[in-house]
Parts: sequence; C-alpha cells; structure tokens
Amino acid sequence: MNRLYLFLISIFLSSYALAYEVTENLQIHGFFTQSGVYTSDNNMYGNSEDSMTGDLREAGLNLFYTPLSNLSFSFQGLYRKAGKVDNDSVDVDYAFMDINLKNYASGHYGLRLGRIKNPIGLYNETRDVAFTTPSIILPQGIYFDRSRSFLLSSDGGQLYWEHLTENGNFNLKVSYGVTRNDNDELLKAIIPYPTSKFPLPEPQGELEPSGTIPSFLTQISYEQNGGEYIYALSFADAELKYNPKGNELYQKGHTKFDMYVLSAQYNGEKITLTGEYKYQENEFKDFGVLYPDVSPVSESWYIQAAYRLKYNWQLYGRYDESYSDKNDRNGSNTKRVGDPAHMAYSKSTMLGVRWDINTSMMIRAEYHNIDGTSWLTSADNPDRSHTERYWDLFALQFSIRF
Amino acid sequence: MRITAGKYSQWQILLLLFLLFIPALSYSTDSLIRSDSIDSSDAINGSDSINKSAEKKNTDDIDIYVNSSVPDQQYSLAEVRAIFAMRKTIWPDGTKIKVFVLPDNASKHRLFTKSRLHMFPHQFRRIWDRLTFSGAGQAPVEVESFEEMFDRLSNTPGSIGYLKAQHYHGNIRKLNYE
Repeated sequence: MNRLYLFLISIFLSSYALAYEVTENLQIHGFFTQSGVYTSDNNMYGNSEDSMTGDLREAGLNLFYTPLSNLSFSFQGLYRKAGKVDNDSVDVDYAFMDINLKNYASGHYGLRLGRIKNPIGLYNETRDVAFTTPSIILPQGIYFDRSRSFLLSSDGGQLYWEHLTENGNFNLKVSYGVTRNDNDELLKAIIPYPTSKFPLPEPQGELEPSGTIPSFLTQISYEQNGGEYIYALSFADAELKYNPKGNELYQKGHTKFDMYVLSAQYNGEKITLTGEYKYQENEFKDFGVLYPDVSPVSESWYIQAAYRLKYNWQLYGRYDESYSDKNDRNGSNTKRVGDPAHMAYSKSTMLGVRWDINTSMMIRAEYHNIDGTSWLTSADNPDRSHTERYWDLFALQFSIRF
Repeated sequence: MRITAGKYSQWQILLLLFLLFIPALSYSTDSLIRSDSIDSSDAINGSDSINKSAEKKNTDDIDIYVNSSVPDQQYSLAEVRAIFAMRKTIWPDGTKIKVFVLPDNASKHRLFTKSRLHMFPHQFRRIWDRLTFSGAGQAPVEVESFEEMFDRLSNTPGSIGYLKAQHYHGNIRKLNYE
C-alpha cells in the first residue's frame, strides 16, 4: 500500500510545478522511482532470477528553508526498498544547517552541521535520485550497493569552499563525522561467512562506527567552462569496529578503509564521457584465529559514454571492472576458502536508453552483461555456491519528481 | 591478448589514455561552444523544429535583466554563470538572489543558456538537481513565459532573469556584465 500512496502523492505534486514553493523561503521537492530487474541467473534486488522483480523502489521528500540570506536548513526523508537488503526502510537521508560564513565577488565558504551526504566520486551525494544518476544500476565497483549504507552520509560537520575563476570553479569539501551502517550486509561482505569447505560459525555481533575515530572525507573538484569538463579527487577514510556477542569465536576486531576516487567527465552538447577510478586500501585486524589479519587492496574503474539523440533522448553505454583484491584478480583466494572464485570480481558491459518524457518524468531501460558476482548481496543470494559466473541483467525504470 | 606493461592490464592503460584524452578534447570543442553564433544547424536540437528559424533570428535579442534593487555594478561572466547555476546566492550588498528561468524544454531557455552563458541546459539541470537533492541548495523558480518573467522581475527585489532585449518601462534594468 505504501508504494501506491507514494506514487499518487508524487503524481499529484508533480502536476503542480517542478519546484513546490510553499513560501518565499521554503521549497519542497520530491521524487519516486520504481525499477524492474530481470536476471538470467543470480538475484539482484530481490528474486530476479528468471523473473522480473519490482523490489527496487525509492522515494524522497525534501525541504529547503532559508530564513536568512546566509543561513539555510535542509532535510530529506528517504524511503527505500532494495531486495532483501533494504526492506521498506524510511530514513533521514540528510538533515543539516548550512552557515555561509563569507561571500566575496569570486566565491564563498561556509560550514554545514548535521547529517551530510558523503562526497565520493561524481554521484554518491545523490545516488538514490534516479534523475541525477547516469544509469539505473550504478557502476558497482565505486557505488557499491553492498556497502551503500556505510558510505552514504556522515553525522558531523563539513567545511566547503567554492572559488570562481574565469575558466572554471574550484570546489572543496571536507567532512568529519561518524559514518552510518544500518544493515548487516556490510558485515557479510567483511567477515567470511560459513562456506561448504569451512563450516565456521556465523558471526553474531555487530559492526559499529568507531566512535573514537570519526571518518574523514574530502573532495576537491574543478569544473571548467560551466561544467563542460569536470575533474574530481575524493578521499574517504573510515573505521568500523566489531562488537562480538556472547561467547562467539570472533574477537573484538576492527576494519579500516582508505578510499581514493579519481573522476573525470566531459559534458558536450550531445556527448557526455565519464571515467572514474577507485583505489581502496582495506584492513581487517584482530578478529581472532578464525579470521587472520589481512589487508587487501580493492580496485575498480569504468568508462561511460552517453549520446543525446535529442535533448530528451539519450543512448548510453559503459564498461566497468572491479576487484575485491587487486593481487587476486581471478579469485583463487576466495576459492581456497570455499566460495566461488567469481565472487572476487565483476566485469560488465552495459547499454541503455533514457527518455525524459517531460521535465518531471523519465523512463530508462538497460541491459548488462556481467562476468563475476561481486555485485551480489548475501541477503539476496544466501548460498554463494548457487551463483553463476556469467549472467545477464535487464532493468527498466520509471521516475517522477517535483 | 594482453599487453604486458609491468603489472598493468590493457584496460588500465586504456583508461589512462581515456583520462588523458578528455582534456585534449577541450581544445577542439571550445571554439564551437564558446562561439556566440548559433549558425551551426544542429546547435539547437529541440523538439520544436518549427521554432528553429525564429530562434536564429532572435539570437542576440535575449538579455539578462534584474530588479532595480540589485546593486548596479559590473559583474563577470563567471559570476553570472554561478548565479544562474544557483551557486552564488547573495548579491554584493548581502541581499538574497532570486533566479527566474523558463522551463528546460523551452527553446528560449536553450537559446539563452547557449548564447549568453555558453552553457547547455542539461549542464544547468545537472547542477540544480545535485544541489536540490543533496540539500546544498535549490533550483531556480520556473516561469512559463516572458510576460510572467517580466512581472516577477519587476515585483521581486533581488531578482534576475532574462527577457527579449528591448527597453522596458518598469522596475527592471539590463544587467551590466562582461
């Protein structure tokens, strides 16, 4: 029922105007997105194997309030259903106060306090808003849905600075805060779960943000000629600790991630070219004898091209690769512990088409051909031995906003 | 086949070439995009092809107008772009900037962004959407016609928009920028 209400409300509001202006100082925006996913093998966002699943759905409603010229308040509530990982969750996506500390002719800087979206790569800050993303399924190596909740936002502060020059704009964001982790998919991605070869006990405890060492994120970007060329370098450093429960064999371990993302984009009148590369150092320590200390480096990249046939019709394609451990690209270590080798990587090709029916409605369709299963969640694929290395994915999406 | 250059795979080399290629593109396309003229027949790629000839004729006839309350001084193109991109939100005298635009799919909007700001409507849309849905800012207010634009500009202190270039009687003036 939830989804029907959301849908009707979105349609109702979008019929008014693109921006719903309540008063001079208050704006309300929102969106609703329903996607359908079909896979030849393996489950992605629900029971998609050999059948179309509609279990990928997002809706958001946001407020932007500016009582003073240099002060604003932002809030967004997000509803999400994504297979068995996100089960009709309703969440505060962001909620912060923005104080514009200084304005000068060629720029400004300020401070944001509260829950702030993490600036990682070109899309992380608005990754759940279909209108702003380049495809239905984001390049998973960088915008990994398995660890989505962890990289989404931080509770803390962000300093920002934007400087305009004749040729382009410099933009710097520095965030400091506590990351979130709302589900146990990340735990399953971190601790090797029981396999047929090693029927280890399942971890019982929980991963928690390390309160004493908040995460640090920074992004510097340069947009030339009004965003015709965009370059960005993002860095994220985060730590999580594992709290064991009862007498289990896993110890009070911790994990640390250092992520670097390099992004470049060309936005022409008809063509958009995008390339992003991620390098991530991971550290898993002190989990005990069952899980010896390891520090793999994961790596991922993609290139995407989009061609605007008309201003509201777009064809796009992408090739991407990602590896959980760059020194074990074929997954032989994964195989050694009893999981399929293809769980350690993914290489995929995608083709898609986007039609903007009008400024507030959009439809997309895309086809993915995938080698590897690192995108898959354990929630939707509890038994990894039943996953297939080569698979196809077809996705359809309808999105509406106001 | 695998190109073996140390520990790098052929795909990594391709990616590197691709990233290097992006800046190189700028030199070949800059002239086309920065050019004020829209003589190139595919410059306007709208749905309403009937309007194409009309748009061409009016190229230089759209200009930026502000409410009379806006500080009268010379602004740079970078500032004006940042204002329409909703990244610069305060006038030099500390008052709030209020931006009015026509809808994305209006041919006059496309014509304006290209001829006056040397940017495409989809570039603005990208920036506005990111601001709106990350909480960092908001989108401009959309008006349906130049008549409505004129009314809103006349009646809203601190407002900026664009109109057919001509002399208007009322509480607005042309923005001085370079």
